[in-house]
Amino acid sequence: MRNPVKFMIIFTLLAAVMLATLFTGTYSLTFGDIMSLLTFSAADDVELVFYEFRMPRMLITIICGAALALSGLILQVLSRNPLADPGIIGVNAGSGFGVVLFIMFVSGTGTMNLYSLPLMSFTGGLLTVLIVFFLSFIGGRFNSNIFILIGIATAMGVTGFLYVFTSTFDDSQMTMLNRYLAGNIWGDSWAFVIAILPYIILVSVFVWMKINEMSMLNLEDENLSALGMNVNFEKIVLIICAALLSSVAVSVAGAISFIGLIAPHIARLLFPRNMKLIFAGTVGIGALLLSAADLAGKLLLAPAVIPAGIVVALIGGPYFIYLLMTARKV
Amino acid sequence: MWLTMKNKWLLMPVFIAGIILSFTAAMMFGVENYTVGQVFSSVFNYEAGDSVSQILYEIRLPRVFAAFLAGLMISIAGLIMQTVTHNDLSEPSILGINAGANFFIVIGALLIPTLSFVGMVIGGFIGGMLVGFIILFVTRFKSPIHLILAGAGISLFLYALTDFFVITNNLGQYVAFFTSGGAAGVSLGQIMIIAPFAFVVIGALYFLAKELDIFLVGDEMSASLGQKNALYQIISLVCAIMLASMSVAIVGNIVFLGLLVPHIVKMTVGYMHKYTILYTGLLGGSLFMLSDMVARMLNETPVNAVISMIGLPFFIYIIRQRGRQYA
Repeated sequence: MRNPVKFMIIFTLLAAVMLATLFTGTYSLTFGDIMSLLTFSAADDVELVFYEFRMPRMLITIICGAALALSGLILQVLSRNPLADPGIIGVNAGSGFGVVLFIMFVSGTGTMNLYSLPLMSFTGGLLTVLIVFFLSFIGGRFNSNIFILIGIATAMGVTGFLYVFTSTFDDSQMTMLNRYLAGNIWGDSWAFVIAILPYIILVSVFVWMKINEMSMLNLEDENLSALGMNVNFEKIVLIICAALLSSVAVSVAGAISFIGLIAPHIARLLFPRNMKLIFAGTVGIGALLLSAADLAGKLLLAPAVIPAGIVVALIGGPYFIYLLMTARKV
Repeated sequence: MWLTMKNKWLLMPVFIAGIILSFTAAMMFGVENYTVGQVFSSVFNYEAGDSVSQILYEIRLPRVFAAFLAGLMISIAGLIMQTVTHNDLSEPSILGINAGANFFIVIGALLIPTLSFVGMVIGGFIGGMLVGFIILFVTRFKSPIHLILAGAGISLFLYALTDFFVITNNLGQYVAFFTSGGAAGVSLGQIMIIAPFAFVVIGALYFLAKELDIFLVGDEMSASLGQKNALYQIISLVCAIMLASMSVAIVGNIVFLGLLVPHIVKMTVGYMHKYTILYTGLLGGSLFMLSDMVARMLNETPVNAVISMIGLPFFIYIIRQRGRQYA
């Protein structure tokens, strides 16, 4: 199959999921409503559901899915390990810690505003990855396997530690935390779309400019140094980008794992070797996966809603085990 | 490693004293504090009418015993897994064994609402075995980083699956206990069911101490020494998983303890299993009694939070110390 055809398929699927997301849900839109939306003559409640509830949520899933996938791609390239994922190495746990601090100290006080929760969770996720990153330098050299191991340990330790504050939580606070940790997309209004979209585009464009370095990183460090690349510097820059992307995505979409694992892997299968195509494919597939997971979570057991993070993990887990069994180079 | 072969048993009195001290401390301190006299009179001369006696004997004593037993089991499980997988970072929660046990206990409770404690233990064992053998067959314990990633990924998946059943069936309260961990609410009856099994399994492992020692020289070397590696690997792994899943059934998923304790023991008495199994069990038991005590004093914080505070820095230290084998 030729590459344009593959991209056509990805974007057709994405468009189908987008339409399905917009037109399904507890408030059912009739065919007449859809026609009236097209002709700008819809009733107020139809417009409200369509423009204020469904559309921003759909956009959030697409943006966050793409960001998580790209972050996963960067981590996999850097660690030369196809099993790396931002969720596995501590981003989710760190953001969860930010959320706990928010519930503990900010929620319900006068200083609270719309962005304080995502900001705290973003800071938690980013700080965690950066600490893990700086701990994985041994003898002045960044070591990607150590990075993954320390990340896994940190994810475990921080998850254990964040419950230190929860003994004073009441039921509603506990429910809030659990919904966050299950990967429930909660930042689903225009305010969040406007806040994160420019940011994610900016970081992604920057990563795109580093695409040549990324495609060379599968060589040995010594060879790269011999070719004149400042390997440590490039790795630091790229890992900070990965941390920026995943922690912002997790801060509005909740703790979601496995997108950063699956999307780059499928993209590598579809577009072998060409890093530019892998980049584009990863972004598209990531967006498709998270929006499809959110749609599935909404429809499967309706009216009950399953958090998108759980749907992703239910698909991602078996895929992960399959990857483990087939991974040749780890 | 500062102890020579001859005087390794000299540490035993120190450990026994440590256990008695931590037992006394764990009985004394908590949400309410008591004196040493109150502790000993209520344990040895229990009076039904006395309220202090009742609290100490019927609530705190089972809890302290449960903590000791669970700490002992999980630390020995960690020690055996480290030996068998040739990996310094192996431990029941990192390898996903605890997640498997946890998942099957939840599923069991969902299918059979009247599931007995023994049923929970059996369910946990099945789950732990399943994960253990998936990991064994998928990774063959060859690449250390592959093994740890496999465990982390499988845990993540199983916790999501558990969450899925919890959300669709409103099991929240029931499950929160297992995932956050803690020794509260364990009865003496449950300890009496677990303890004999635990000692039989540990006895079996002790019996295998020599074979376990031979694992330390590596799979190829031990095979050339004539050891049936696969057989002993599976037997000792099954024993370790039994210990881990029994501890999940009484205290939930406890992190890092199974990693921390064997390393401290190996640093002091070396690697021979006839010493390490015993010392690891005793140290793990007393450390967990103390962690549970600190958790109680901090307003009933989940005990994992307490252990993580020591366990995480220690884990990072171990990785950085032995970095070369993973690099």
